[in-house]
Amino acid sequence: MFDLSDEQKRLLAWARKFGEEVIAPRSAEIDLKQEFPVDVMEKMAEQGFFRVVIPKSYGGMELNLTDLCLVIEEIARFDASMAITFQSHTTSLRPLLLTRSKALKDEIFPKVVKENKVIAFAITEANAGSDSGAIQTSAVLQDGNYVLNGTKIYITNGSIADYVLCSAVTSPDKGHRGISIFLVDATSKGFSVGKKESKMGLRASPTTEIVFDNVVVPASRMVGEEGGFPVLMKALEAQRVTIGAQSLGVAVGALECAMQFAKEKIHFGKPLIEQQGIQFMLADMVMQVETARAFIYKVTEMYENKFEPITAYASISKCFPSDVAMRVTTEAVQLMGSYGYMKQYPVERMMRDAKVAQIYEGTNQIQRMLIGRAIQKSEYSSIYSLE
Amino acid sequence: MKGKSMPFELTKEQRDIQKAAREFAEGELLPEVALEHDLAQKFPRDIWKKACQLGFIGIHFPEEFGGQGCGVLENILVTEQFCRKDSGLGIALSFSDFASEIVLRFGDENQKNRFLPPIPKAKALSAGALTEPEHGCDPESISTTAKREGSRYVLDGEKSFVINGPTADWLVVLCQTDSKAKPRSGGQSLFVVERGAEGLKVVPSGEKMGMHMTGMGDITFSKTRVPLESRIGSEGSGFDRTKRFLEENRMEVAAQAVGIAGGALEKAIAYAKKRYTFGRPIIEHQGLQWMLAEMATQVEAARSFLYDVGSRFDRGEGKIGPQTAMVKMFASDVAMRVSTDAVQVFGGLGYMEDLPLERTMRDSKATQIYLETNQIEKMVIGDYLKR
Repeated sequence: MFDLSDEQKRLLAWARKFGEEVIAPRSAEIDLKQEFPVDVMEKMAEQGFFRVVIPKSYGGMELNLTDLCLVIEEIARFDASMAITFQSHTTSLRPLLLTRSKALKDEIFPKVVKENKVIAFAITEANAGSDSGAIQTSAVLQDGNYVLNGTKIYITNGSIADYVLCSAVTSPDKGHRGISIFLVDATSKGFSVGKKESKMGLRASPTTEIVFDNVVVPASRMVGEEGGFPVLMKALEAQRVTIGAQSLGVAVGALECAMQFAKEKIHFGKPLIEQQGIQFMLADMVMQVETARAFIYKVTEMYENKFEPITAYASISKCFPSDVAMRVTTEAVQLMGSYGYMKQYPVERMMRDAKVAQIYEGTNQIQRMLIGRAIQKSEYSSIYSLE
Repeated sequence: MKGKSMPFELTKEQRDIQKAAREFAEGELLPEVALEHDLAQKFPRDIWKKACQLGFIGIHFPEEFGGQGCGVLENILVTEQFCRKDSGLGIALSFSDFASEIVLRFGDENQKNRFLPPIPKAKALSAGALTEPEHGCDPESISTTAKREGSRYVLDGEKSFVINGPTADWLVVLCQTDSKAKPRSGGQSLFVVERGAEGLKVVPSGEKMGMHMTGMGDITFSKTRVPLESRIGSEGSGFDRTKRFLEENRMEVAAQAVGIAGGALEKAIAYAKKRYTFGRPIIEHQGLQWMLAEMATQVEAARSFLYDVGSRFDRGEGKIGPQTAMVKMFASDVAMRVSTDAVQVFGGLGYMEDLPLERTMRDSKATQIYLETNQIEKMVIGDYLKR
């Protein structure tokens, strides 16, 4: 049974207040205009959202995965674009947290804490989406520095980031083991932001191309070991649950809206909720949302307890809630009929926002592949372990 | 002659119409034109004029009113082909004669001669104001009234989410003419009202998730005086005729949905054959293949069902109201699922405005809602099952 501690309640109250007061009044407008709200981001930074995972010793909040997910869920309930803005930055900080390089931490963490610097996560390329090992961006060692060339696509926060955490091939003959991770300064010569995408949803979150044209990166900016990409990716595995938390928040936002509508809207002489068919629709939505929530926080707890192998659970925690969010938001629009289809209510935006979570951070097909492989390798069992 | 139990087959003439509509769509319903109109939220006047010149619009009108004397099935075939090529343009063209069937089937000779011929000639757009802001699809409680005053009727009330509301040259309105009638539906009548009638005000219903090329308006009648000749059929016949119109038009919405789903499926298959991950086309991955298999099965089933119901209607088989509700619900649910999955097959690319997939997904949602929501279709089907 998942019970909120007093500390978690305070944390949620903090996120909720921010969502209600700062984000909610802007959501419809920034979606319509496809405009990244710099003022909201500045307030988010002031409030500390960009340092939620940074260690306390550096002035951060040092939230564990469970608490991070609670905050993401709460913010996504109001606006998925704003959730992904700090969430993607947070994911980019993880590899730094995992690395042993104290120098890099000492350099970057204070910049995040004191100067509100933002980091983007740049892995995807035109020919390397689901297949993240097929990247072509290269990093060649020259006089103690790496020279990066290549193009990354669909990069969240691409145009607002101060740093970009990216993957690049350092040893072309070593396959996955020849890929390393770098932290690149967005002010570097040869670094540029390319095409900005127009998207179905997450429209207030800027998604761009990033181009490296002979960008010189000091060797000290390599995150982890050379060829450390697969190791880091494995370490980031449990981060997939944050996408689950985001999806859950979107689903909850739509569910709340639909429940309220059903209680208030009079149809055939009585509130919509008195129609049994509508009750069944809502019951199905609630079952899915509650199940997703229970599973997400089961997985974050497994992560806190260092459960291994967690692959299948991590994939389920991303795949299931995002499928739930797609279904629940689509049903919320349906329940509200023409009202649901109009932008005067937030559910149509939530339905558009929900779709992306089935796609990014490893499509749900990739998640099914990973779950399937775990079963194949007997790394997953549905029976209680008595060890 | 084919008996009822014979397997369904299109005639040579119907296949020719299907082919002509497909060729027209391929040549004229171009993606760049669609995107431009979608973003500008503009009705595609030029394409509409061409479609009219070639006889596609109002194909089901008798020749004396400018049509081709075809049945509902031919109209279905054209609508399907248009929506297959582009959901937004297809919906806009398909609805350009919205509710004209009320005049066609139930109007007198004067009304037909006056209102129908401009439709296939691209001289007029039509609309049907059947839904009200507070009553949705509930006919028992419409509040728009038409009171007889000498040789005129005076209309007062509001209608919402009227398809073509902002663009229509004339519209059919359902009004309560006898407020004491029991049931109330027995005291309802239909009127045809022209743009510019006194006291008639139209405002756009607001920003929508999709179907941006089709206008939707909220309409107010305030002491709108119309001559007696604008009443369609006898007093008190309005509700029954609206019901029969809905039966016919459900098939048109189903045709849009089948076209949308079929088009999305074709695009997904083509992409799955050319996109490579892990060294092979994604269609070679079994998980994806099975997804496409399910999509294809749904499209085939919806299409066969629709052609069957359409041809039964044209053969004059009565009492197929419940089947029209089933096919509208089924086909639109298929369109929603298949278009959502098509975006999934395309991954990140599918989420971007550059391709029509994301727009198609947004447009699909409308087919589950407009005309009548699928919840209403279930009520219609349920009532039939009870009998």
